[in-house]
Amino acid sequence: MIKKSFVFAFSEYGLFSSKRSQHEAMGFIIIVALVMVVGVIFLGIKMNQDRAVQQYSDSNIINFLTASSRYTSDCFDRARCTQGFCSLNELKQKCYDNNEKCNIGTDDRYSCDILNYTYSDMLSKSWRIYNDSPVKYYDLKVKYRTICNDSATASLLSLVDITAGDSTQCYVRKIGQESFPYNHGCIVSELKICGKDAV
Amino acid sequence: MKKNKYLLTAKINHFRGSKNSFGIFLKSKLSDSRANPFISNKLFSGSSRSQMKIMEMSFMILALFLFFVMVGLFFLVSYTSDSINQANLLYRQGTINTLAALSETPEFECGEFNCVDLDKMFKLKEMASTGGIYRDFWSSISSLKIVKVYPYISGEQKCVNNVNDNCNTIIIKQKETGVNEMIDSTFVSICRKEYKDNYVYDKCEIGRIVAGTAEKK
Repeated sequence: MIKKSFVFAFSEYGLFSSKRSQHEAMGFIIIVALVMVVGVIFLGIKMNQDRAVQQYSDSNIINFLTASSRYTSDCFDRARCTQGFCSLNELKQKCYDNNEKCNIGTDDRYSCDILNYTYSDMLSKSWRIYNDSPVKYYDLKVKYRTICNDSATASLLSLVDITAGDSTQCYVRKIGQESFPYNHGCIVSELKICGKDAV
Repeated sequence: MKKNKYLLTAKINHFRGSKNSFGIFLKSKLSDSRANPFISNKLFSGSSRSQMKIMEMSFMILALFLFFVMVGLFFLVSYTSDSINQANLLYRQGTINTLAALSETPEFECGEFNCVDLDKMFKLKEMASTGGIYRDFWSSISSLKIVKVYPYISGEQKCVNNVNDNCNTIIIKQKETGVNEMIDSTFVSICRKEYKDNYVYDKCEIGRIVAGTAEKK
């Protein structure tokens, strides 16, 4: 049907009967084709951009890291922790200093173990991953760096490395970083939270 | 002077001549058309063809214009959708920062950044209730509460006089019934004085400061 009407339009009695109108029609078709090609290229680039992981620095994650660093653990060490019970920041320092032990009730446990356990439990309760949840994956790294604000600097020691969820569903990634100076360098905590849409 | 006069006369004659030649051409055409019906048909059919050509061209221009308008709209929509996402993101970040700033006010702060004093919260809850001097203090906020996130307690368990292991929510400003609101929240430290084995210390946990803004109708 379309082919027939196209042939008729260009026939002797059709719409584009004269040579000049045929030229005009051809010009129009060429313009449409060119614009469509440009549009398809643009759409392809845009779709690729959308599919690539979008990464944002997020105030909520930074606030979480600040709040978590002040969290009071069950680890008791009157000599090293200002309040007696150590905060997670103080535990990080103890973990960095040869994984010092601390007292929980009647037991002595390694500070790095308490640090890892507390962060792991805290993340699973604060950024819950379930079927309909916006959070699909998270990754927390606590490291010691010689230069505080330079992410390119290789970390000398990894204190915590916790991941959970499915990293293949990472379309929108939000990150936050918190650090404090220690022993001529910095202890840096970095948290990445991923989801399909805005987390 | 004489030379200029000659030049002027020549120019006038030339103008008259060309005017005359155009008149002669028009006259001949008209007389031809009157005398010869074939030429007459040709003249009129030629004008209708020109009209046709003008119409063709105007349709083509219209089609091109509409086509480019549609292409322009497509590009505009794809760009503005991106800007809307960015605007929403910025708006949300702004709200989170406002909430974090709220925790810095003397009514909430515990002495450190992004930290809420839970002991103050119970007094504030009392003062913000009906009859209290803080009842109209947060006029732009329709509801305000502090929720303990970690250690985790499932569901909303309201705290009455103090925070213990069985409750997780302190409602400072209750949402009015029938009000639709947008909820925003951010993480804060919630700290309180704790007494254990003859030892007083600051116990800090993780909470959320949750504020509702009434939707404008």
